[in-house]
Amino acid sequence: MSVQYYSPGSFTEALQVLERNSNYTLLAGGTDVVPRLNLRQVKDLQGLIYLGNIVEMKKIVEHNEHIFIGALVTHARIAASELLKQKAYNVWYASYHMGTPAIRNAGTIGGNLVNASPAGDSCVALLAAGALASIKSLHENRLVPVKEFFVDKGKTVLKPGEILYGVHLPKAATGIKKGCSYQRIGTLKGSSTAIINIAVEIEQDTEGMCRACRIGAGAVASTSVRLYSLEEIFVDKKMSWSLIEQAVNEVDAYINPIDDTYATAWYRRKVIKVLLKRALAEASGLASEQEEV
Amino acid sequence: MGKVIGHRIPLYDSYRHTTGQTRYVDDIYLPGMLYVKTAKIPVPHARILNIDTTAAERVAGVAGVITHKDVPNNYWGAFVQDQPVLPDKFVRFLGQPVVAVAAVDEDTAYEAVDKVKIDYEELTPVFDPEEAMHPGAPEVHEGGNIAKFGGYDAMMVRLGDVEKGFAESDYIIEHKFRTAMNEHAFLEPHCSVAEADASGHITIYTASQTTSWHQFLICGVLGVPINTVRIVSSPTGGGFGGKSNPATEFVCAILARKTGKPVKWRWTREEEFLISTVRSADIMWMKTGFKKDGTLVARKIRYIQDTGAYNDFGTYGMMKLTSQINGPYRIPNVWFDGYVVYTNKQVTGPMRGYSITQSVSANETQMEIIAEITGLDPIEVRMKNLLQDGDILPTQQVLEAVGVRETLEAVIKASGWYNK
Amino acid sequence: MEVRFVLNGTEVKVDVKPTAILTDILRDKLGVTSVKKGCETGDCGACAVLLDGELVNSCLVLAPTVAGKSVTTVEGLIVNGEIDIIQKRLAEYHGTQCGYCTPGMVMAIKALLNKNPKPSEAEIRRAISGNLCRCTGYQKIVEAVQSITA
Ligand SMILES: Cc1cc2nc3c(=O)[nH]c(=O)nc-3n(C[C@H](O)[C@H](O)[C@H](O)COP(=O)(O)OP(=O)(O)OC[C@H]3O[C@@H](n4cnc5c(N)ncnc54)[C@H](O)[C@@H]3O)c2cc1C
Ligand code: FES
Ligand code: FES
Repeated sequence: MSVQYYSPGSFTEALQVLERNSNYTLLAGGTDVVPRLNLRQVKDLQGLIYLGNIVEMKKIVEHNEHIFIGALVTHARIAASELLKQKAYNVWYASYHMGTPAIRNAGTIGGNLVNASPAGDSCVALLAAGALASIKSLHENRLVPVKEFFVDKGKTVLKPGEILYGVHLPKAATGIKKGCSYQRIGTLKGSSTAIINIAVEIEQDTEGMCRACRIGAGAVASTSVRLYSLEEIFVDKKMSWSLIEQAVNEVDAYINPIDDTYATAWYRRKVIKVLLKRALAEASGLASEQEEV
Repeated sequence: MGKVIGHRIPLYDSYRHTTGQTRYVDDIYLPGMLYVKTAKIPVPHARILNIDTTAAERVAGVAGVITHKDVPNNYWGAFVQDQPVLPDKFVRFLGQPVVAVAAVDEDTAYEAVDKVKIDYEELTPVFDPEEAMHPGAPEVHEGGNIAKFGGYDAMMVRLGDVEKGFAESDYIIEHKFRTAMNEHAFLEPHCSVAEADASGHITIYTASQTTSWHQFLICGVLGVPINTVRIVSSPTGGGFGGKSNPATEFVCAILARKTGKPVKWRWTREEEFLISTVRSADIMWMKTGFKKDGTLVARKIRYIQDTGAYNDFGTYGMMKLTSQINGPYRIPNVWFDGYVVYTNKQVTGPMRGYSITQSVSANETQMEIIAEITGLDPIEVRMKNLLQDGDILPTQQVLEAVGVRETLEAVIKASGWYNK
Repeated sequence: MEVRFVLNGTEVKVDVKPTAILTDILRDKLGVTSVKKGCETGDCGACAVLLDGELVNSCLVLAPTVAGKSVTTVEGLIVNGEIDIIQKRLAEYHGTQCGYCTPGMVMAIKALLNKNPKPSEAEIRRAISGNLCRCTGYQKIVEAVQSITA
């Protein structure tokens, strides 16, 4: 009955331990796992594999085409990274504004993703960033777009024996200007799950045409989601207030907000319109212009 | 005096707080101490059919299991003794503890709690006090959901002639206000430690806001003389009214006597939210008549206080609020009916400005509306109606030494109201 | 299982269950009752300690993961009988009332000042945003910190 505990010193060792014990729980910062243990919501815990000593998973590396963030990188480190603030603004913003100082010191980006909360802040940011999840097991390495990563609340595409190694954030192509915006509201300023969180990234060419638009949204479905139908409104068009209005008017049809202790679905439907408008305006660069009425 | 006024005087215990030396109840560890956890059912309203603790008692490390049968005088309450320490017939709110287990550690106590079997018949709950007042509503208590005031359904207060007052008014406004339930959310969850000596005398360490009241109630429940129970009031990690009544103490005392060991029960934050007392969510219908110059003439109030599953301080709260229902304002004609209503929610109780705060929101909102209607400055409307020496409250009390005008004048000055 | 770590400068050894939280180990096994339990879900900060110099909620730290690390609590801030300036100023400025949040609050401020000796008011407020205080309204706490950094 007693719970087993492993603390592998390398990634390979972790994969080996997990291969033998695929029913064990991976432990990173513990900020999602441990509250559930303390609240006695976990009934059948067999073992814990603590990833905290695996240095390879704690790296932030800039490559030519993408930036790599190891799954074990904490929110505090992301929040302190000038590189990410400059080149992956939404991912930076999500970590900077989530939780509390102590939570950001412990909680990791990988844990946020695998926890797959409908309102996970990094989840929403990574969706908008067009990020890829680097997933590894002893037998296979695969790169899965984050937009295909979530299956349901708390469920992801990870198979038994697999560990999330890190995420790849693609860089914008040359000649493309990328605009970002992250909007979030919660019940408190510090320490609270988002009531609605939205991340928008818009890629515009030198002519000001929208070449790509990605909208990630949280708490509007059982997982955080991309709002593809709204994205299409902008692609290959010049960004304008009227297109933004159109997206805001249509958003209701594409969401199914959650109803929980933080807010009602009714409230979320109201507030998402405001945040979506702000996010699209900021990411497109229109926010600084006089808003049309 | 010169050393005090205008100087920062640290609280006598503040250095102990900042260095972590203050000993709160949860910081007490006694040799052989046992830990309590309780069994609950997952519904807010039910008839208890059977309680089976045999499997729980067999868990290694369990020292004592108690049900209502172990409580000498199970029902207690400040005004109406309607609240069981551990329920025998009915569960009336979600999370109400039914069986208490004391074991060598919390894990063992939880394990035993999982083995307690409570058979029950689920009953329809009622959560809204107005609904609870309707004939035919699910009964929270046998005999009706409205608490009695000397045989009457309502606490009734009459001053002057309210209908005449309305007739003399230039304007009449009428609103229905609703407030929300409030949790005190002190940082220190409820906790107590009880130990019994060989002669059966009990010492209880607890963070109580009302030590003697605790002693009185605990002796009543245990059926023992008052000199056999000692309450050691420990530093309180926040109370705000929420630690005015015994919470964990009855169970700890009974388990300490039963097991002969010191017993600690510390609530989790979840238990705090589910089973500790809260500020009541009230419904206030208020009709107010006033003159063109803002003078208040008459007010009619129908007040419904949601007391939750048990009366506790409810009756007292209602009596207390009637005197202050109009805030610091003079109204010569008042008609007040106040109801204390049971619902299947946790018990309500004192919280910062006990039972008065709710009506302040209604009262002051109407003062703002009156200012809007009359076109007067909001402060003028208030100044015009302030109580003064010799005025009479709805409850007939004649006032003396009223300082509200000086206070408000000082606030006006300090805030620079007229310069804004 | 056995776990060794450094507590306030001294090496300690404890026998723990893998699921035991650091808060319980400190309080129940090592007698460090300054570390409070307000929620056990990471929300209140009453249990905050420094782990290898970083602020963490000890209620979310599983005991075995502390192996080889160093833990600092308010007791560890007292050097040769001298209390830390944070402990002094919080007391003097009425930054503590009931005191239940205070040890965690002291550690959050310590973590801030270690990294940023001259924080702005906004930085102070951000640094204590994970430490709930139901008594003081935070203003006095902020003033206490400002009195140190001014
Ligand atoms: C007080 C508080 C406030 C919070 N505020 C926010 C907030 O504002 N926004 C927000 O989004 N979240 C918030 N959270 C949730 C949490 O802090 C984050 O989701 C955090 O990123 C989780 O990371 P972790 O390392 O602590 O995960 P853990 O708890 O260690 O793990 C989470 C899950 O991921 C799995 N896992 C972890 N790492 C890997 C990996 N590399 N590969 C495979 N599986 C893995 C674990 O098995 C577990 O199922 C809050 C939590 C608390 C307690
Ligand atoms: S007890 Fe750890 S954060 Fe509240
Ligand atoms: S001083 Fe009481 S909670 Fe902060």
